[in-house]
Amino acid sequence: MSIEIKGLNSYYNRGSVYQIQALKDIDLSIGQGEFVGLIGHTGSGKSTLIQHINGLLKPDEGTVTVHGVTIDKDSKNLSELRKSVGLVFQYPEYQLFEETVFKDVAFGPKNIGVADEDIERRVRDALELVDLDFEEYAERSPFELSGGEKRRVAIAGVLAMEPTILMLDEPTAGLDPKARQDLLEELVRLHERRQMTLIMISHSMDEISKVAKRIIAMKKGEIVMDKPIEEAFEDVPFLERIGLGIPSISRLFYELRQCGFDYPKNLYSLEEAKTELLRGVRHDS
Amino acid sequence: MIRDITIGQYYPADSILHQLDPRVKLFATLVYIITIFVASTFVQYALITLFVFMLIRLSQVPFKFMVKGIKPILFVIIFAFLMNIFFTRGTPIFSVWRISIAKEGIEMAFLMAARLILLIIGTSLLTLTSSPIRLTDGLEKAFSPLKKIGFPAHELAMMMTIALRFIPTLLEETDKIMKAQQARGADFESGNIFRRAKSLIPLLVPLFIAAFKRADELANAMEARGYRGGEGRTKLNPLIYQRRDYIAYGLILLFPLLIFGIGKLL
Ligand SMILES: Nc1ncnc2c1ncn2[C@@H]1O[C@H](COP(=O)(O)OP(=O)(O)OP(=O)(O)O)[C@@H](O)[C@H]1O
Ligand SMILES: [Mg+2]
Repeated sequence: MSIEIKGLNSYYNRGSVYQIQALKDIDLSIGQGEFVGLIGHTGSGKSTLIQHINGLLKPDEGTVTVHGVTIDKDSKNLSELRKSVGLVFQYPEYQLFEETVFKDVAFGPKNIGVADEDIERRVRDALELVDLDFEEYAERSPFELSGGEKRRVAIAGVLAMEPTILMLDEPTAGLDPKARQDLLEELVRLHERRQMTLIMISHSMDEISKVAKRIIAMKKGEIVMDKPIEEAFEDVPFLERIGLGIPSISRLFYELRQCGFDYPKNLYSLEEAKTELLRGVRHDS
Repeated sequence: MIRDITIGQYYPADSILHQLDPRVKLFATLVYIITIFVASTFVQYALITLFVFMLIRLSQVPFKFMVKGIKPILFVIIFAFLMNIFFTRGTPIFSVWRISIAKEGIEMAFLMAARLILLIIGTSLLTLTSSPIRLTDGLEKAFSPLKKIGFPAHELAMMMTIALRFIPTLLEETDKIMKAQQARGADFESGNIFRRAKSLIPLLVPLFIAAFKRADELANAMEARGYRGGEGRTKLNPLIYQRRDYIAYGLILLFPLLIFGIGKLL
């Protein structure tokens, strides 16, 4: 197991009047090479959870073990851990600060002590992965790029550290449909080519269902569902009860089933939908 | 860390000090500061300390909030204390090698430390018992007679309100950017002072950019809602003096007389 979480409890402003318990008794294990979609209503503790996985937050109770390194209440020196766990925050473009795209992407690798010769290669690779042309972008200022380009530079900045676990907090929020699509495809490529473990937070069920293989749903700091994608969208009333939607394709077949049509419960991808619907049409005629 | 600074942090309660008009409290703080700087004997300081403790009791603010305000400047207090002990000349009472410590030095050191601590606690008391909005309202009203000679009372008050309003927002922002850079392996905690200063660049650049952007957005939002400065603007909760406020003014004027009067007698 590359990530193992046991009995994790986490609070904000502990001991003051403003105390909030953000995570309650989380038990979770994620293996190397999994692609996990993390969903949940706003304020359910998703961002808090992934910050625990690279030690930015430390457990108030319980432990988080990543690649054999255990983080507990008083762990120090987590730089080794941060080398292998990449975290792309919500709106990561706010972290850009260097004069050129090259320098900004190189910031992470430099911090973890990558040799100079290797840095250029890493920056090239990372920019290529997010579909930005090295020659064209490397020497430009990150502040004169468009929002979508900035986002990609920021993601490249994390990719250049070549983590084995990559976590992304709503990476597609605020991007246009084309940029979203591209980014999702890049993530799938990364996952397949490098056997990277990916954890992606998203509010869009359509997006999640396109890429993730396992769905974890949170509510009020607890994990309320943890299923492989094939089964995740079966129980529609449950998902609605915890304030989540379902992918539009699952919704379509759910409604059709309600009308008395006989379709399987676990449809969520466009391909399957096509085959099922065509079969239905042929059957009728 | 940054969060520990009490100045500008209101402690909600329903004490008599909370109810007083902010102008009264501003005036009291002014008188208090002058008194502290004029006071020079131990008896006077002891009396002032006594008064401050009474006020703290009256304010219903837990004592630990006062002490919190001292923590960030503890270093300054200790530094001033040591400087006074070692570098004041006078009758030596103790000397080793070339260092000699004078009686006057010790007295001076204690007085300075007492002065600084009383200053912080007294002014914290003002901000702990008055919400920032009431405080800036008070300042605006107190300075509004000066508008006639072109003093921008309303504008200054508005600037202060906005600054106070954005302290928590900026703290949050700092926290977020700090974490994002730490996730990229940035290290804000180790190294000598130069390395540490340099390590702040990845934090400060995005922070300034975000702050300027916010300022721009806020200016647009205010303009879109028709803000044109203080001219002809009415208030939701206008400041009106009550009887307790007049009584308080009287007591405030008595305070220095009492301190120096009793101080002389003893
Ligand atoms: N820095 C903080 N200080 C205090 N409370 C916080 C802080 N960050 C989050 N919280 C609280 O912790 C809870 C979980 O927050 P978290 O950010 O993990 O939610 P989330 O699932 O990521 O939500 P969203 O989908 O809106 O990003 C919320 O109730 C939130 O108010
Ligand atoms: Mg979040």
